[in-house]
Amino acid sequence: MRKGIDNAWFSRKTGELANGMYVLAVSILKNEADAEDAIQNALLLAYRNLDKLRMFDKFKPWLFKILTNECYKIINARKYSDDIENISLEAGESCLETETKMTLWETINSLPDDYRTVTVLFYYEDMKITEIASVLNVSEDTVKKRLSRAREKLRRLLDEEDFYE
Amino acid sequence: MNKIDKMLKSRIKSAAPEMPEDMSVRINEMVNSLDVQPYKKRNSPFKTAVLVAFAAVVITFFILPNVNENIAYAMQDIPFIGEYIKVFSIYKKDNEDEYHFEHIDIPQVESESGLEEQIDYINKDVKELTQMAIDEYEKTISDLPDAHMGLEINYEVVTNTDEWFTLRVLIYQVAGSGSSQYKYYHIDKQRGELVSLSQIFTDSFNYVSVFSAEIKNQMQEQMLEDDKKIYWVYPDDNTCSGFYQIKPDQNFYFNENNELVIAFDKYEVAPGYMGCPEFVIPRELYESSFN
Repeated sequence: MRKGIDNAWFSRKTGELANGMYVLAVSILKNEADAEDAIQNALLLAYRNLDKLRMFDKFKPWLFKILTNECYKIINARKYSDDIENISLEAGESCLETETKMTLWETINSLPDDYRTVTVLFYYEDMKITEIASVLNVSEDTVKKRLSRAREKLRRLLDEEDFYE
Repeated sequence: MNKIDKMLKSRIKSAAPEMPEDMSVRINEMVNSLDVQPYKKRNSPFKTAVLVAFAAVVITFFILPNVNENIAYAMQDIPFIGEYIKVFSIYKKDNEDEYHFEHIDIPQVESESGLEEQIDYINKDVKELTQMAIDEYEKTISDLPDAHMGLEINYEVVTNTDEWFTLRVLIYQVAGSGSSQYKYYHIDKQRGELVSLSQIFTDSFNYVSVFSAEIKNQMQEQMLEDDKKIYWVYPDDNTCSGFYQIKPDQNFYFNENNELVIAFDKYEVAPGYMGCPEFVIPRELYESSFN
């Protein structure tokens, strides 16, 4: 390992990011046991490949990229993909229309997979558009588009909450 | 940033779920156990010597006086395995409670036909490896008595013929999820040598490339046939990592059909649920290249 990068450093950095990893994994997988598997696999993979990380200030997006990848490996491995792909944007909309009193987190969970991940990375993790694009291996325009759709849905929820309050 | 984004950030952060405490403990334990993973650099000779000395003190002054009915020394009944080399259990312990399990069975190798240097090396290395795992486990359960932890150490004589001896030692550490580490010891009895993979083949045979290509093919084929199987094959889509080639001294053994099997530890080339993957290498790839 490079100078200054040791087990204590890895342990401290991953400790700081642990809850963020949990929020991201559980929002993608919607299952705590799978989220824990994904986090453990991602941490092991990150540890083994630490030498390949060129800039250590990019550790967070790098780790989240590995974690996202691990989450999708689990989805593919356990044949969840069909169920998740079937949750279309339209399904999310109809869900919002019928369940007007959903909580904010339930609404995030009802978003289609791609929109949900972008929402968590942008609003919860405070990541930049360029970092999110790198984590998800998509263009910045795609991130902006997904974020805009997700923002619209969440804004509608907040408006409804204000209406009911 | 617009007003909506600011409000959403604040609301989403306060509404986000928290990692459950028990999961947090398991993840933390897993990260802290990374320094005993097999891919880590070995300790310096000085550090190792201190550890071995410390382990000897621990065994002499702490473990031996505290033996109970769960601990059995099998020094008396030495099973006879193979023609020249004997393997027996020098230390056994079986213990389980609500939070912990320990199933420890440590081998000792003996020979009646020379090979003292090779046998001594194996015994010393087994003792060092297993004692480090036991020390680590004891330290963790004393720090976190309520965490679910386990340690299993056992062994198997894979081969013991007139020509060849292979001993496999398993160290399985459980903290949340389990991490398995196998260590193989091989003796070429006819040459009287300890053998690693790099010593088996002629210098002109690039066994690392040949076997790695074969293993990557087998990984791809298995993933095509069964979409539940996942191997990390280089270049992995997102991380640019994954299995690229075997280590020159990768774990191996010869199976009952005398075929070469290349073995990987848990997490070495695949997610944890895939266990410890093994690949049989077709004989035609290497049979004309033995040393």
